[in-house]
Amino acid sequence: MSEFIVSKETVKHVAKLARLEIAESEVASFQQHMQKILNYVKELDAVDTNGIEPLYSPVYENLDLYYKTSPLRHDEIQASLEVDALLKNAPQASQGQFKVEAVIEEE
Amino acid sequence: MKDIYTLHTELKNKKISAVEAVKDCLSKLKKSNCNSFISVLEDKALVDAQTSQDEIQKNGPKNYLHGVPYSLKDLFITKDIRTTAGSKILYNYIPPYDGYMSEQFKKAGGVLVGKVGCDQFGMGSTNENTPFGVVLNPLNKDYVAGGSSGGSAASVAEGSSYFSIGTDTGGSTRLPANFCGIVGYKPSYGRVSRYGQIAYGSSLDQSAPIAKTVLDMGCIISNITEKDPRDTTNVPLPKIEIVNDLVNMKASYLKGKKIGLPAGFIDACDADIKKNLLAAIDEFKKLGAEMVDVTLPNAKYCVSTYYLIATSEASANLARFDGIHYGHRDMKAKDGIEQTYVKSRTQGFGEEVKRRIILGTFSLSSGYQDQYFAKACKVRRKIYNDFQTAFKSCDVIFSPVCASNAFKIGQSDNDPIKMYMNDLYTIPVNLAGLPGIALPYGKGANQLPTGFQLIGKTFQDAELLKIARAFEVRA
Repeated sequence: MSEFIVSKETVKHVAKLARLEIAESEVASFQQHMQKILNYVKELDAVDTNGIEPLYSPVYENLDLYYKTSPLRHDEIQASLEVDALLKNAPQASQGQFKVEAVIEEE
Repeated sequence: MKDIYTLHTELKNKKISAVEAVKDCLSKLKKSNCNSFISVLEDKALVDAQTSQDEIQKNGPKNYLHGVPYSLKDLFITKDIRTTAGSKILYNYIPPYDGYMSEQFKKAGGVLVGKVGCDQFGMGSTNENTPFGVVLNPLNKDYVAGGSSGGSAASVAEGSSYFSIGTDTGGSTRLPANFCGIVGYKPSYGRVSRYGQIAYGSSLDQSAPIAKTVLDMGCIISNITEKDPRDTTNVPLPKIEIVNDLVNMKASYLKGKKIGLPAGFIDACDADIKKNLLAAIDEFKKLGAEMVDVTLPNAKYCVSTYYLIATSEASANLARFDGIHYGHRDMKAKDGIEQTYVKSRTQGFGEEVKRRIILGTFSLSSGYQDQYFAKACKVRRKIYNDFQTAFKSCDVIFSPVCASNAFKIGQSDNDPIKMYMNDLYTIPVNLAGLPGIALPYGKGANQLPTGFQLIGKTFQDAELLKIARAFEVRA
């Protein structure tokens, strides 16, 4: 990992990707936090990982077991939750649908 | 307070009723006043206890948890009962279905006292990262109960629940159990279904019980190791049925057991913690266990590895909170649906959650993924391999839980690295998917409990619990 300098723009850009808004007054604190962590994780540079496959989940280390429990199932109709029950938690709903602000502008 | 097994025996012998048991828990909850619960279900608990009591009266308890009061961390989905994840973004969320935990304990006839407090989405080790307020340590209210499952640990320690289910992504069950002087057990990854457990870091998360004794872990684990096809990482192994083994366990079981001591682990702890760890090792030796030196050379990189992986997974898992389907929404957001996402998420998530989402989004972002996320996953394999090598020469590994014991409220460090270092000894277990159990042992300089951790081989949960129990029953 080369030295990565976290700028205010980095913070704003990543926040945008994550659909978060960082107030101007908070940007510096997020910037500092991120810089501290990225400086710290640079220690991983010292670990020789040549030829090492990434381990994404311990499950993949027990594949024999994992395949025995194949997540595939028969294509049968199963009961699911009722629309009304699901919509009860929706901040806005109407006619059995989630309601949002218009996404297509009128001419 | 007595343990589950004792309560079960008394319910069976009609010495106490399930209603009396839950009333006792509710009165202890009021007396303790530690902010352990987000939602107390007093009326429902009394009705459920009566139902269980009627069944017990007729046919006796159907299992060890029948009629036993318990609590769930507010990260577990409960049908028709508010489930907040300790966050404003789910402040009013009332799930229309039950998760696995809730289903299993309903089946067993347990009595849910309520939903307990935690750091938002399980992100923290002090229980201070939540709008519902810090959970106080029942043993001394100036101190934190630990996190993120602080409410779970406090509810068991104060006696308002006989057991609680927490979640453990990087130590979130073992650490608070340790801070409150009780037992916290993280099963092997894949052993307990995560269906209905609100996700933080999916390859690390595991539902994890907190209780008074190792014997109680046996009572709980048989009820939560039933195969669940709704979690594809849940392995098809038989239920862990070991209560009888644990009841009859003798300390002599430790004779000839090989216990690994990882080089350098103990030396980095505070002096009072270190002293008690050495005393525990001495006891193991006296009981006939053989201490074996092992090395986990890459474990020291676990905090870096963990924070890159956990935050990356969190950034993906928490993308589902959009202000549209459920949870908090900024009703005043204007200028398109994009702004509804942004405003709702910005208002709903707490600061630490945002920090982790941002770090995770960065480490997965175009151009940086290989440098950060993929590199961390490679180091993760090296940590995993270290354990496999170490376990060739030992049955379990002995380790600290935390370099210190409970700290004062408000004293957690502003330096994120120092704060994350609290999890140095618990994280490797999650990265490698191993089972780990934190046991109380002795007191620290602040008169609060200290303890140690035993780490087992993958899916050798029964053996880990037996060894822990053998130590528990020593004279």
